[in-house]
Amino acid sequence: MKYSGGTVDDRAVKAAAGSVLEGGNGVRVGGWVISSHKGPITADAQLEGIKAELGTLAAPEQFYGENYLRLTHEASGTCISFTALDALKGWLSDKSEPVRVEAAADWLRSRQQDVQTHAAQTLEYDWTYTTSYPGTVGAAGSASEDGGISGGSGGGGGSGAQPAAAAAAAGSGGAAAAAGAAPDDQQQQGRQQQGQQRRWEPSGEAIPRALLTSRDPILYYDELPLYESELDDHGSSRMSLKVRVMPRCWYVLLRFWLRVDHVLVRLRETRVFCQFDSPPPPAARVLREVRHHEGTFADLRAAGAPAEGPAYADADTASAALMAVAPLGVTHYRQEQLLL
Amino acid sequence: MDLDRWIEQARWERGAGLQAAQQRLKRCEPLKESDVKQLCEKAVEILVEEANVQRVDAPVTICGDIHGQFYDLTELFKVGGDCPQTNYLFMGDFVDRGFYSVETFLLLLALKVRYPERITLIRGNHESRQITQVYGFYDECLRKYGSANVWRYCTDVFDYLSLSALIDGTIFAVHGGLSPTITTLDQIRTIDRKQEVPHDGAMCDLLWSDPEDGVDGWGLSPRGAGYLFGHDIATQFCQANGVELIARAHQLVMEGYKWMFRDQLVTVWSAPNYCYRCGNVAAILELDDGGSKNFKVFEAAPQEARGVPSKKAAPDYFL
Repeated sequence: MKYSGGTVDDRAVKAAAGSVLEGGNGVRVGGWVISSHKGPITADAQLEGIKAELGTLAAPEQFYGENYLRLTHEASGTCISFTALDALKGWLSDKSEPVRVEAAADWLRSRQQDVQTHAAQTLEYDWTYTTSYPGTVGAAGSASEDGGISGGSGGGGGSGAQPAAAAAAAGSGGAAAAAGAAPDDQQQQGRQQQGQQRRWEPSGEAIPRALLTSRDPILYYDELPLYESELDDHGSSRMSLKVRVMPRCWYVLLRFWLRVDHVLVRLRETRVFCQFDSPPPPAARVLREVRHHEGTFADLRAAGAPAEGPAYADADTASAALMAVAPLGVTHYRQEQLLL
Repeated sequence: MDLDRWIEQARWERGAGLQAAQQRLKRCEPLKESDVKQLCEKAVEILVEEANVQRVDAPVTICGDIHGQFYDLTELFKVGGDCPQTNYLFMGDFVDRGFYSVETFLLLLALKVRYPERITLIRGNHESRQITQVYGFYDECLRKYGSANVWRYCTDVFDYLSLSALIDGTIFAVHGGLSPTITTLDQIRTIDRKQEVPHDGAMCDLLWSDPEDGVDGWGLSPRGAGYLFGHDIATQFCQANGVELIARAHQLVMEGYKWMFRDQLVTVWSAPNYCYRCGNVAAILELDDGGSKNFKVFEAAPQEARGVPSKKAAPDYFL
């Protein structure tokens, strides 16, 4: 089986005065080096090692530890990356309310006696693998270049640690986090060690749709999963991204998508954008929009969204269904920028 | 219905080169609806006689989840040998997820009807009306037959599938795992299995539970339903029933098989490159009549890549 990066349009790359990276898994254009990699899921022994390191009993069974997307700004050396390991760290520090499957109440009621007789211990961790991970910002050298699972530094970006609190409607939600999550100060330290002062800051500017809807050629395109779980056949949890590089800009859509059958759908979308013909290199401004939305199937139906079924079969269709009833179900929204 | 001819067709001519295989495969249309009905009725006649703990003799080859990956099932037979020359035990999850659940289940069923003593099929949690309506088999039946009749015939067969197998009295095979309400095999034998997989009870646990290294005794899944069992539970069960090994499927393993609990339990996974993107290998476990175990590991059939999303994604003006 061959593994690779994304799809390159050689002619368009040349026309945009860019070049294709050696290995063909990325492009250099507009002062940016953009590369991606797709590999198989991480082997059991290796995943056990990651779990031990992070202090967690569980991890998604489809963990794509080799997969990454990196966007490196050549002038500043700043690298925006997306890795499975950092996304998983985002899961461990997430504070969302625990979710139970539809049959949970019945199941527990009918099992009360067995559970007591056998002193069954309830494991407490977020089995939905919900994460608010919006990407990683670091110096180019700090993210390992071989794309290994040690790639990336710290956890979420500057303000990435908070949104889960906003998403949780009520209650403490403390049970969701498992032990061993990298605390925020550690992440902070990591950034300081890199000597980076780059921070995402609030911005009033939305990502310009016009540029994204124009049919400029796509120089480089890829889509890749970071991790995925079938939730033991109770739905689907998937962290994945898409990237497209155009002659004037690049654009990333990172999505955490969760469907718990008969219960709820949750979508956490991070859109990252950079127009690199204005301002001209070496300066750059990266825009980011983060939107969290979710709803129970009952609430969505009541709001006029489609009933559970094909309309929520994947992140794309679920996104459309949720957008149709917005702002209902939107639990978090922010616009940010990163000046380079 | 000429079962032999259909089985031959479904397997296609191996070694005949890709093009010949493709042509032959095109001719191998799924069974007619009326044939499916007949096949399912015959299968029920056989399955109804089987015990909840079906007795199986070595030599036998144990297989895990297939999940509708029909071309990979053909690859499995290439690696393990054809039935009836090789005896097989399939531990459930024949359908859902992959694109060829209909062909997969019907081929296994045809082999069962044709060689009932040579192949044993036990039930997985996906052999259920509720699950197949969410994870693909129902939709596939509708798409391929234009009605839910074939799905109905097949799901009726599901209700008759055995729950477990005991090989030479020493290897216990089950799809998921153990149950806190089951200490002896006799307790499994008394279950009335001819029903949709219930949401609770021993039958549910056998098809759904998972072993877990990090648990002592019984654990409850944080999702609110489902058991996890630790090493000590497996040991108790083996001692109480004179069993040396628990063989089960149900969980994806990158290397195709995974030992746990000091070789008291093994997970076998037989769907290579699961969902056409995981990049995992698959395995089958061969037991010879001397009791020795041999894993055969295999990769996805090259043909399986056809008709499925290619590695290189088509550029998309996503927003």
